[in-house]
Amino acid sequence: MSSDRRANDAEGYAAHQQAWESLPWYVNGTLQGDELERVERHVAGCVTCRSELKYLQRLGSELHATEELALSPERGLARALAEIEGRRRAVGRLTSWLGAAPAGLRLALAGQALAILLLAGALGWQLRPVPPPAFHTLAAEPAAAPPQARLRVVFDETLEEVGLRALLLEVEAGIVGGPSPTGVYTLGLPAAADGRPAAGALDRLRSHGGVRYVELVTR
Amino acid sequence: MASPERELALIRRIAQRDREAFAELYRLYHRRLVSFLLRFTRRMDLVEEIYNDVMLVVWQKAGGFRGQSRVSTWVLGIAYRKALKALKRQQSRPEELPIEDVVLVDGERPDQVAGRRQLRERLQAAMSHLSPEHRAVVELTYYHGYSYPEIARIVGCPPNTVKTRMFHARRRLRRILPRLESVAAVRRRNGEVRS
Repeated sequence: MSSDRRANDAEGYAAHQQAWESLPWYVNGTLQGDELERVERHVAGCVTCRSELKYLQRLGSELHATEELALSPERGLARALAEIEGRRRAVGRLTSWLGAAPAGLRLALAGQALAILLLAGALGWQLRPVPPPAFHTLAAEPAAAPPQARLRVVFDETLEEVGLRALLLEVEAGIVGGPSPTGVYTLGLPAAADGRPAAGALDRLRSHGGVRYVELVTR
Repeated sequence: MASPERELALIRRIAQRDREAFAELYRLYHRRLVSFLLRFTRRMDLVEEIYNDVMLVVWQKAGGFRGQSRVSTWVLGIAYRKALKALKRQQSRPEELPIEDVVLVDGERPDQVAGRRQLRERLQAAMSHLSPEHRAVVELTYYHGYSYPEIARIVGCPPNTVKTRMFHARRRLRRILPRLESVAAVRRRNGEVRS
């Protein structure tokens, strides 16, 4: 093989690699200028890249078509606004109090705050989590809780209480937490030996029209 | 979806401590960002807290936003960092649902599974096998339609690192989902639809 041929092959391989890496952004239409032209030119003559392009287009359209979870923002917004108001009041109280204090006192307070910060840092280091001792005493009780799987679920707003109760009875689930501000419930239901809920229960919840989201809690 | 100019105007008003503008931006981003955070963290219990943390940072830092990027790029960058931090605080990776739990229904093999819902679930299950960093790049490319330089700004890494993460994510997805047939093709093969 001549050195010219080797150089051409190396150049061709580099062009292929560059185009191959850029394909996802060719698919989402954000490549521009020279890079776009280079990829288009290469893909036109490269079977491997054309096949990959088809796969990525399919992947992209399926991922893009996934439904977004529409939860109500209002309760979270109310909490955020309350937090903002709380911070504003706290800062207002502190600045007005400091403004009224004599200069010497302000200096002393600043020094004290610094000392507290240093002490808190040292205390935090000493209190850092350490792994528990790996031994059991004879008096230790064995864990006897029945195996229970946990799921996080968002119900559709149209699901009424009667329907909810019937569904929970059907899959032998109970509400153990929630609803959270955005309507997330935690359900407990009988678990198999591997700690997961029976497949039928999970499928039933996923396919039920009144359930919008199901997530398995694995710990 | 509001225009970039509209979003920038809201940020300017938030910098002036305008709560109505904050509420508008909060509502505007809620659906998009909650979905992003859920797909990224796979932790419904963390998502609502992270979203509020993100919006409170927006409230605090709006005055320092100089418009070097789109507002959405800036907000998603905050969300990405907050979500990563929350996952690390939990000292765990997101929950990974074994694929067979999601894909296999009544003993069917993957190549027999039909229907749009199953295909989507297979994809979601496959996505859950990516690391959060790799998944974020896929999410930002396909769900949000960002260019790789924009993704680099959001996740705070060089553009080539974005390409490398995508490279690994693609390889892993290919291993899990060697081919993606259209729903129509699967149904035809299963004899559900005559054509």
